[in-house]
Amino acid sequence: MSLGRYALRRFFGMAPVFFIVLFTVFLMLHLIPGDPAKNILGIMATPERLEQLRDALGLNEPIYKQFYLFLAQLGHGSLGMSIRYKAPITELIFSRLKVTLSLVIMSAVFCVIISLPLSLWATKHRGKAPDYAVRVSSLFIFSMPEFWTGLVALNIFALRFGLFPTRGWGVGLLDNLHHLFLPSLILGLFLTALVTRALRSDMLEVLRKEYIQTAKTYGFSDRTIYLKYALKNALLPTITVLGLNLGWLLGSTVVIETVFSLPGIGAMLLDAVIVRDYPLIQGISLIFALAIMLNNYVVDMLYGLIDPRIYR
Amino acid sequence: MRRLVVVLLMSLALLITVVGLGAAESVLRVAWMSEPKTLDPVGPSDNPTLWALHNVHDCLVRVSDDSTYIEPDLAELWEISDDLLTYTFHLRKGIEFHNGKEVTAKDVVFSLDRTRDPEQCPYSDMFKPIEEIVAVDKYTVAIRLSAPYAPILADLAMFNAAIIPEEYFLAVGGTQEFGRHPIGAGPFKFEYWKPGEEIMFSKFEGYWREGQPKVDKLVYYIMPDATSRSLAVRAGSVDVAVYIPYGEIGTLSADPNVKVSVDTIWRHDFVKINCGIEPFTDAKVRQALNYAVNKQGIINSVLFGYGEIAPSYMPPVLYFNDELDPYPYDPEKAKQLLKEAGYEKGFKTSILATAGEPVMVSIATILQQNLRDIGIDATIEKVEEGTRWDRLIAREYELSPDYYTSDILDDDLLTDFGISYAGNQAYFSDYHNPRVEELYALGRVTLDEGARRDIYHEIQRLAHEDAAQIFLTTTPNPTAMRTNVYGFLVPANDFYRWEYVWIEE
Amino acid sequence: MHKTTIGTIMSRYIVPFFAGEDTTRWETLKNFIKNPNSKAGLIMIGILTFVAIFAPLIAPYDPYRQNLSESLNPPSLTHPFGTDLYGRDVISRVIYGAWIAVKICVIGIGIAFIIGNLAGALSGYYGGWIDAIIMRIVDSIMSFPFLVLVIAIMAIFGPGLKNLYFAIAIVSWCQYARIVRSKYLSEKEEEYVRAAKAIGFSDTRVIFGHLMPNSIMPTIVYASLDCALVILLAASLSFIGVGAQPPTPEWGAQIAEGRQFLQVAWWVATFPALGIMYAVIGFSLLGDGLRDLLEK
Repeated sequence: MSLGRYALRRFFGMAPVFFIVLFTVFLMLHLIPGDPAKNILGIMATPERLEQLRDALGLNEPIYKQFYLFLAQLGHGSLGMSIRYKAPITELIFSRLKVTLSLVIMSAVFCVIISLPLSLWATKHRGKAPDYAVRVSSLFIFSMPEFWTGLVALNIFALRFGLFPTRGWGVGLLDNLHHLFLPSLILGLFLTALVTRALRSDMLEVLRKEYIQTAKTYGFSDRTIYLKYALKNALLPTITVLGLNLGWLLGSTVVIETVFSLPGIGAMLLDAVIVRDYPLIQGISLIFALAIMLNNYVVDMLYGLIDPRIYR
Repeated sequence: MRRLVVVLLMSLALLITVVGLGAAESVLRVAWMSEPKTLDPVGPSDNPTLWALHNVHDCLVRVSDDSTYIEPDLAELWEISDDLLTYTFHLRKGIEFHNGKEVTAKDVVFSLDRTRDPEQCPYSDMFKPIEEIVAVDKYTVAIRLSAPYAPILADLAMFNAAIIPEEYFLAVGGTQEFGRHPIGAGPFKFEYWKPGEEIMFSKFEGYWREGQPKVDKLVYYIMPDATSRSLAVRAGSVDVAVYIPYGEIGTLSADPNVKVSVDTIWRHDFVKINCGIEPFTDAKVRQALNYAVNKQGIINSVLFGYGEIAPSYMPPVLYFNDELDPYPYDPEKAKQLLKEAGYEKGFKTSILATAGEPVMVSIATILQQNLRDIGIDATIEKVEEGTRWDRLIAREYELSPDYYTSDILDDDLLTDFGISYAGNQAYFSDYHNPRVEELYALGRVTLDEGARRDIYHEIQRLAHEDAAQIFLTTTPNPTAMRTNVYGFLVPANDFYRWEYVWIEE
Repeated sequence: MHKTTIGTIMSRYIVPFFAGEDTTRWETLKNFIKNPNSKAGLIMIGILTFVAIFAPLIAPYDPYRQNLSESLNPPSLTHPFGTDLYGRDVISRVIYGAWIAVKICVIGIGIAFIIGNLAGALSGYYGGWIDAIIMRIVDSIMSFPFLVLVIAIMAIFGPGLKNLYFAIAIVSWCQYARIVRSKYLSEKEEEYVRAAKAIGFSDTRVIFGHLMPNSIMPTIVYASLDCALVILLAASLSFIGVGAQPPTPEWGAQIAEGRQFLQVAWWVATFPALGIMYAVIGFSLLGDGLRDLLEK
């Protein structure tokens, strides 16, 4: 089939998953053991306050009706109202979107910048010192909890050397980038470790492939081979690994935004948990899930573009 | 001719340099702990807001720099009638608000009428004894009381008794707009407010105190994380960091670019006990709690040695009863008391703390361990500050570490707020001792200092015996600043006097 | 029925690792021990498990005992890792943290492993609508970032270690299901399976007796790597406050407590971090070694 039909098929194939995701998010409010209102307000809340909250959340309606209302609300492009901020959730998420998005993009950029040359270098000297060095250091970096690495970086580079601001988002593009540098670097490093560990075997795979052998017999220099073919073929796995790990990346934003006090969506999710703002938790979870679904779809398509054998 | 040109050029150069130097603005950057809710003096009740109001607003009177007496502010002198019922204030003439309008008696009447309006001001209770406020003439105001009221002068020095311009307030349509764009008679003018990030004030050139403020601009950066604040002052991105963690005082002092000022303030740290529910209705149980907590241990660890153990509900404000001995750390005695109260097997309870408040959480953790040692099983519940406040008011708590500060140079405020039932139900703890109520009412109308001292000493003694709270400590206020910051002063009510501060380049 | 089941388990899963007659599996085991990754990993995890299980005997102090006059003491002879804010001994807390980490891995991943294998088996073997449903559920769960889903679950059921096990299990089983399913799909048409079915063995017997022994290896590999991820996940959760609650000496929670003192008392947050690193490296090496084994 053609790429177009594959694209459509995959798109509609997402529908049941999408539905289950919606249902799961909807359930979040209703799986709360006992009375959700009591859980939000605390066990000693007065009956009046409890009833007030139940009305506001629509908990007194039968469950199928609530789900219908939930879907209808979604259809209107609304995710409901946040209990804590008393503002529409879509607005809240949108206002913080640029922070988290910038963090994610910059981390991915750092990752690609660091991991590609590193992997190439390691594979070139396969089995020798650089190879081991890269492998060992990626293992080390991978094993360090990101929040701890973030804290240490904050303490050393932002404090001791005063190179970076210690919190917040800053004003203006240049300032924003300055604030983002350290957090994205930390995340990017972690991603690099992930990718390097995954990439290595892929690169070996590629290098063992016949057509590179063939290229060699035609007399192309080493350098040309590595750069043209190896890199091009390594790019795909890198993107794939990055794409597959978007989930991890989005989850990490919660932790990194907290450590660096960035006003992003991840930090807001944590706040929402502390104050038990369940509508907000639901909204953010849904947005993240949608982002990942979309991302998986795009990665699949990219994969299809580059290697059409997948869907034939 | 050439010489003339040279002279002119040199004068021009000199002029430019002088103007340039003069034009180099000094900006005082302060790392502030939390975003103020408004800059309208009437309405707010949370400390970070109160402590920011003083930049923009002045009152009739104020607390002296050394926090021991009340001194003139916008009012240059006052008289008290013989029957103690009328206070007549004489305003300084020619004082301007930030918009150039003169401060007159009409503004005073308007402002103070708002302050004593229960609909607008959470502290209106304190001004209940005021029967009426009258503008006698353009610069004279008479305040008539219904009965002698000792705290009145101290109350008028409070943040919410600030004098605001009536005309402007009404013109902008009330507190919503006024709170975001305030005009006052204080040393700094409000410039702009970036929600969640910063508030900028600038020097009010027409401020009536000569030579103040010394800096051209004052900016508050909102930085809720205490560690970030101290990191910022070390890095030099701010000049002053308020309320730095006690643990950093050592490191900051050791830094050659930073100095730390540890100032006494009217602050009392304690653990609230919900006296209205079992088993805390029994005084013996509450006393047991006081014996069970290792208060010196808390000072040594959480406060890094700063602070004094508190014997009762009052920190040293006016009539501190220093004859009271604080409860010693005696877990055996605690267990004994529990047994007498019938709780030999202990019981379960919960401690409500604010997430993200390291000192509070640390106190809760130590408390949990101390309670475990005497057989009480406590879980720690961490919630957001707003939620905790709601739950305190709704009595949905059992124990909760907390603190309060006195905003006035008088014991009445904390007695009203913290221990009297008539005030706030003893700060939402439902502690109710009729004798305390009697004395509290008496203390307000007694003007004789000796008699008042005895009254407040007695209230403190009663609260101590009844163990109305788990009394913890009187804690000082640590501020860190760059070494080139001079003139820093914060009186014991935490109303920072930034107008005294200057920066040497 | 019981005897046969035990017999099957013994003969198909356990004995082959030790029996001399089945040379391939014996060789496999030898290769496993020779591989530097798995050797290192096995030793590291071995030590970790030992320390974890014998924590009460190894730890010099009670990890919960506060001693406020010894607050924030630097590492010394009496306290090799120093003390924290409440005077609690850090090395004891790190040791008990190992026990908690092991518990999280065993219980959390244990449950995920079982559920995942079963789900994958059903999905791969029966196909059809069972497969469709299970895979849709798997896809849905995997559409959420792990951390976010676990945070949401903890928000619903409340913080604490017990809920953490549960949350981790719910989120982790999916990958196992996928691995098992794809293995089953490829093995289903093999000779030995067709033969077993032809003989008339029940489905259960075919699944547990024939297919599962062949598919379990990849899941074990994944489980080992998963342990590494789960330890990091649990630490992050405790760090932000929704995982283990104070005074539980979970490594992430300890870092959270020590965070404010990184400048003045680095040891409170650093040693638990080293603990995490050790465990993660150990499990990763073990997993890498197992994977090398599998790919040979």
